[in-house]
Amino acid sequence: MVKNRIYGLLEDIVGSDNVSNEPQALQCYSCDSTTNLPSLPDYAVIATTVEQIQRLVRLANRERIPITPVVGMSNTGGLTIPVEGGIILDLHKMNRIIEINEDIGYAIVEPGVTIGQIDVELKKRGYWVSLPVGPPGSAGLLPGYILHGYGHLGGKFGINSEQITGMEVVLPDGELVRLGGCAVSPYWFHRTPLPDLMGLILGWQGSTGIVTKLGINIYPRPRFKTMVGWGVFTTHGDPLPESCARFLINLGRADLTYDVSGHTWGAVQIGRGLKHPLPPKPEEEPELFFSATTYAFTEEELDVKKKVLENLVKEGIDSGLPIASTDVTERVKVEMPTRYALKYSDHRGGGGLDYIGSITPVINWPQGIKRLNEVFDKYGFTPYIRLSIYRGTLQGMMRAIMPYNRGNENDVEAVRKMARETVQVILDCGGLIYKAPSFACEEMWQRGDPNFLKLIREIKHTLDPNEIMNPGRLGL
Amino acid sequence: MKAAWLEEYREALHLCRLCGNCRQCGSNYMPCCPAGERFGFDEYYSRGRAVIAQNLLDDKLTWSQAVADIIYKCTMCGACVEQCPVAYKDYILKVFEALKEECVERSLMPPNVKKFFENVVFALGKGFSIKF
Repeated sequence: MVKNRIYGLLEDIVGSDNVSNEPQALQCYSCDSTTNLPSLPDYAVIATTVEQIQRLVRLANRERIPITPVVGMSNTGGLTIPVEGGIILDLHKMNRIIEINEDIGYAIVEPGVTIGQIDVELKKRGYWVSLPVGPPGSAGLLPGYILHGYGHLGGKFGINSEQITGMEVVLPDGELVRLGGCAVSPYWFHRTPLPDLMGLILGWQGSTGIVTKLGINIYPRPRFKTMVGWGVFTTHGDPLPESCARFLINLGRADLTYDVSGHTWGAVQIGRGLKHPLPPKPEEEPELFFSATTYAFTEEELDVKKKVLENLVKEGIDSGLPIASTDVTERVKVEMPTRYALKYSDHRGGGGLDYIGSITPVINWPQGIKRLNEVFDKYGFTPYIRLSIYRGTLQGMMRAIMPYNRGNENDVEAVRKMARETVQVILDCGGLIYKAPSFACEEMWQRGDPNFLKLIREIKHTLDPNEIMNPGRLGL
Repeated sequence: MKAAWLEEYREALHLCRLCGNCRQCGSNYMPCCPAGERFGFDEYYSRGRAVIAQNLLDDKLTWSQAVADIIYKCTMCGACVEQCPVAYKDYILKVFEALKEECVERSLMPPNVKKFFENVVFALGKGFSIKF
């Protein structure tokens, strides 16, 4: 190990046990499961206090060293790959749940708190939060909130960033600031009515500051759960007619569901553990599987909700839509965090996972799914498309998931191309990419209002004139 | 020197999803990896060890005493195996064993570990021997 001047300064801040520039340490932080190219940091640093983070950021600013925060190492967008080197700042040891305020309905967590950790703690008290769907329980909770991720209660409460009530942030100059009501009140209960400065942090992919505390809404945890399932019996070339998209919108508007999600036939088979290549879809099986999930505090409430949902599906069937009820007995048993979800990574025998997620108007899902199917078909991949409706029901997540074999160069190259073509499809549908890799941001900026991009650049420059914070993000 | 022990798992290493689920127990989400919890950096968790093993095989990382020290920090308790949600779980401990075998082949066994085994041999008597 070569200890240079910077290394010594880092040791002074976090102690010698919490700094490394050994190649084996750096390589572990250079990659994720996506097809994004690896890039080595120069130093790996573990911080355990807010003060350490402030000192590290000031050092990075003084020395013009990039700094990239990371938590659970489960990112699937290449967003924590330190593309310009510098310091990788591992925050997973800052994992305290600082407060759970049941009277006002919020929790305050440090950045290293995981999805599973908060769920276990809240379950003891009869509460829960909207848990990011898809990542393992060991994934960080905070990134799924500040990056506008989707949660398992999204059908009722909206995307996760809408659940944020307050935050504490180390700005790129090392200053510590509170955003939201907690800037004035002792309670971290609401982000307004003060000027909502969280927009300076949310969705910026760690390029404008490091969130050191996050306040989020907690909700009473219902005791009972039920699901209603239905299949869409169409064709691969036209999987979701507009009439079925309108049916989804109406179902969501019934205001009974916590989640309305859909999967392509191939996605369901992969979820069942089937390996590539899949057999042809039997004619009698649907192109798309949908389910509506609801919860209740009493069995009576559950019965009523289930009956209303079943009636809505029946009305859809009776009206001539190409849908029929499906059995969701097994799915209803699945609890969050969804550990099983990662099994799809085994589909092509090799651990890789890339995806392009979006928020897209539901009414445009029909053309989107049709074209995404074509992209998957073109490269010989099983169409794995996941759909979920957000609160308000007019827009939702349309996500193309691409499990691939990390050891197969053909797979890697195909997925890189698929990801780029998926971005085009989503943008053509009026959608927006979330947790967007840089190439996807560049596509959005090309199509977008140039003054929006100009404003983003100016804000970034104002907050981070030395461009030390997670550089290379957002296509800036 | 070719990494013959590790080479056997070249394909299996790609199965690691790099998800980091090996860090926490899936029932209470408390830390489950003794080495990872003690030393903190990703290289001490199963996820990081998969990256290291892959890079050693691909000659992107050089065998060294520092690498061997990390490899031998693993207690082989198998907690990560219990948490791994993908097919890699069937290979994790085999990969760890292969990494240690490669260290022995290269005379990189950490001195304290070597001393431990020498003491075991001494305690067992003259009829036993271990090749380091």
